[in-house]
Amino acid sequence: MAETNSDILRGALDLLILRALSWGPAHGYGVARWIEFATADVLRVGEGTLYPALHRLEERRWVAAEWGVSENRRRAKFYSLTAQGRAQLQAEAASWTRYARAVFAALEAPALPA
Amino acid sequence: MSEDSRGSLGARVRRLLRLDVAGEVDDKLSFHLEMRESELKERGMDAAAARDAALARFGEMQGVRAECLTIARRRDRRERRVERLADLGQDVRYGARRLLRSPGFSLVAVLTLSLGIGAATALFSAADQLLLRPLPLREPDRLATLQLSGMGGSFFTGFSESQVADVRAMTEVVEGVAATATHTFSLLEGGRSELVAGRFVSPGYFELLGVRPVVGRFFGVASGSGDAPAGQVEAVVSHRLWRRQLGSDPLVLGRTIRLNGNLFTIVGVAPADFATSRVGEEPAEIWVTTAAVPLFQRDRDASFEEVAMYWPVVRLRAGISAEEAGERLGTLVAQWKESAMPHIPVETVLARPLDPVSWSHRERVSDFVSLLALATGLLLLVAAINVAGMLLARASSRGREIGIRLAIGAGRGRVVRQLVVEGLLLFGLAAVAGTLIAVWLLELVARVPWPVAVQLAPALNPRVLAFALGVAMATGFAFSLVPALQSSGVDIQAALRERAGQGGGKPRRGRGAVVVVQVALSVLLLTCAALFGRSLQVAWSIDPGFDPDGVLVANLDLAAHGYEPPAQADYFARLSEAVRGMPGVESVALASKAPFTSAGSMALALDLPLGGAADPRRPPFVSFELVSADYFRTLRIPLLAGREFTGADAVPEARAAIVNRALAERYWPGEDPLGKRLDGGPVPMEVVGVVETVRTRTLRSETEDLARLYLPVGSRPAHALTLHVRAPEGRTRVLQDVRSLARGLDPRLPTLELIPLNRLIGLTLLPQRIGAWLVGGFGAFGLLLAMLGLYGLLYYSVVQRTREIGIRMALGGRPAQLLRQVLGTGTRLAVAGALIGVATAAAAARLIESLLFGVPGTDPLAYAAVVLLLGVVAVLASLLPARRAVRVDPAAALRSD
Repeated sequence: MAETNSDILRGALDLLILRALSWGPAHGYGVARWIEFATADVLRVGEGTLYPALHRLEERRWVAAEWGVSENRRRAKFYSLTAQGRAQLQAEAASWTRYARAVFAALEAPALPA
Repeated sequence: MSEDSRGSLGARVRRLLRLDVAGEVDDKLSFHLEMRESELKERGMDAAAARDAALARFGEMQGVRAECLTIARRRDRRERRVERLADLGQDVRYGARRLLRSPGFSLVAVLTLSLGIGAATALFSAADQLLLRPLPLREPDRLATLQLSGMGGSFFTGFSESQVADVRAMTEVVEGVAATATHTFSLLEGGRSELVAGRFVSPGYFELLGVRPVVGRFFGVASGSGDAPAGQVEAVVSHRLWRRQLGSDPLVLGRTIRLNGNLFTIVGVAPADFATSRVGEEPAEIWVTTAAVPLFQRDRDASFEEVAMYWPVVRLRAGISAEEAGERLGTLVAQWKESAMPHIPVETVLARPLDPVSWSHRERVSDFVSLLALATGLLLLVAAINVAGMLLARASSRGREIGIRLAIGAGRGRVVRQLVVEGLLLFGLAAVAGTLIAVWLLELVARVPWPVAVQLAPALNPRVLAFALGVAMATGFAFSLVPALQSSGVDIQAALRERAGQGGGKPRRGRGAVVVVQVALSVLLLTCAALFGRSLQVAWSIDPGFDPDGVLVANLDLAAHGYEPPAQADYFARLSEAVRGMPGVESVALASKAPFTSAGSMALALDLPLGGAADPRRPPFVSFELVSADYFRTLRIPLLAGREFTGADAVPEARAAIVNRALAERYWPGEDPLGKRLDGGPVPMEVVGVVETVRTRTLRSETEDLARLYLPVGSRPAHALTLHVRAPEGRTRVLQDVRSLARGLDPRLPTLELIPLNRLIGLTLLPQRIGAWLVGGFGAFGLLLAMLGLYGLLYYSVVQRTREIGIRMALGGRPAQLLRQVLGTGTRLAVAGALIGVATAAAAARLIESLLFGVPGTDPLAYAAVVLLLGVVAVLASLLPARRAVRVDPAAALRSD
């Protein structure tokens, strides 16, 4: 079960990261914690997969990275959403919602008339 | 220091060492793990359990790390690329701005370079077309030409048709044979008559070579049988002829033309680059089959079956070399000697691979082209060095700017790169300008009436353009790099403090070296030109043995225009008679060839015991010429004994013969040649006169066999004769009169144009003339640049040392001393360059010795002339700056600060 969830989660990982950052800049760990919190720890995934996703998002310029100082006085890379990233977030959120609704509707629908 | 600045310094170091990317990734991942660990510890786990749990939550570390690294590295690479391009763009823009700001310098530099690049490109284009372009034939390396050769290689002759057939039968050696023979046809088309060069070829000629027709077809292998072979009156025209004469008519097939009066039908057009692929031969414009030969052989009484007029082209069987083929075909010679050629000293079959440069001209053309290549290369070098010197000068005047840039942190590499880019911009512009110059040069060359048939299209194909660009970039890079390195090695402190009165010493030494090299190169070029000049001088002073001044000549090929031998004789007689009677004409004569032309040379074998110290290896062949009465008088060749020919001798089977001194001494040394008998022709001949030996082939003694036999015009068939007219004065009038006279005799013939004999002689000296003018031009240009460089250097140094000079003058120094000092520097540089140049020239002269006449490569006059010229020019170039030095006002100099 956990694996199936992880598959679905992986597909939405980018979306979740963008959403996490839409609250403000955060470092990688911060993003992980927010996902944990927001999904009530249901969607638990190897946190390692976060980082390649972050790098890819950075490559596409949807997030920007900057060195900063973390809460415990350590040097960390902070990610923030760019303008394009914000637009991408909206687009992806909309399409995900559409997709989810369609699946929902399908699950509720009866069989085809004979 | 703040976190940021420390970070940025460390970041710079890391960036330099490329550790940045991996380090960053590791940082991030370890940070995450630590945060998770501390959180778990807060919740109550112990350290070890917390770590394990954190790792477990994280997932597969190695895979993640690898993936992140890949992505990060990719991004990093892309960013670097963008940055580098941006830098480059900046350098280019900056360089362009700087060049535009000093238009004088830029213009001069670009012009100088474009001349060098242009010349080099033109030469490459010519060489490419003449020597490098492969023949547009199928497997050209399997093609070869055949000759019959004997007497150790000094005798050549062609094949007869039956001999060609015998070769064709040797199928283990050759895949196919095609006979070829050159012939000049008189082409009548659309009412206009013109002489065109053509070939008789076997019907399978084009297929053998692997050429495809552009329009129509070629002859086809089966040329029919019966009385009139089917292909007999078919003709193939060249692309050029088709374009020029027939207007590129797409319906050219089936059109009829008249060749020497015979009607022919055009069946095809050869491809555009076919006729022009061989240097040294008149490019063929028209081809007809060998079956057509009988239609043209009016004035030969021998059965044309046996006439050895063909020079076959063969396609060798795979794996057989030309040499081997020659050996194996040589077995046929024994057969032939018995049946067809008992008296002809043929020993072997010589097979030579077909190559783009016709074998008889190969050495001359290659030598010549190599010489030109060298001279052009030197010119380019001189130009490039000059521009390098200019760049150096400019750079040293920007010492302050460079110093500032270095001080604020631009790496030396960056500064060098910027200077090199600037130099490359210059060279790039020069490449463009040079290409234009090359095109113009090639057009010019194509218009010169070369004696050797040369087809040069001023075409710029991609290869040539690539060459021009390549040369420009390579020299540009080399010659901007050195000044850039030199000037960026400036001591920053000194540069920042630099004032007008002081200057860096290093750039000056560099410039001095530049001047020396330029002088050396110019001396080299000028010396070669001077050697050519001396050659010409010697050549003109060689007495050819006859007096060419005032003699005009014109060649008449009546057979090509349909004249039968009796009509020819009649025409010539009437022409000579009429011209003789003209005012201003002293004497008139006819001969089978004009001096210093090769067309019309004939030889025959004399059955004579060789007396005296004659070389037994020499073939008993002697060149002969047909001459009319008055020939020797017209050319002023001294008659040593006996008499000239008379009208009575001008009959077939005449027995009179005249020999020259060289021949007499070879065969009858010490005896009186008059009355001696000569066997070897159709009738035995008798010597009736002896004339002085003259040079009529080349002016170089080593290569000519001077023994000559003269036979009367009319005693043997000769379809073309050259009219010689001695008209010491009123040449223009005579030219016009003769022209209208000839037209009056027969308007169908092309206009008779007499040219002065001296001009013909001049043509044989063409390589030397070109060498002298071209190389001399290059050398003069190089010298000009060198002197400009010298002047600039001295002037600059005087300006730099104004302060010092002012002090010297104030302390009592005399102007004469100052003058001497400046002149001294200048002459020292010039002398150094001259020494190197002379030494190089002496060594290089050996390369061109083959083109020099009787002048050794170390001819003192030539060297002396060049050194003198250099001396004068160098002193002049040094005088002007010296004068400036002398005129320095000590007070003003001391005050300027």
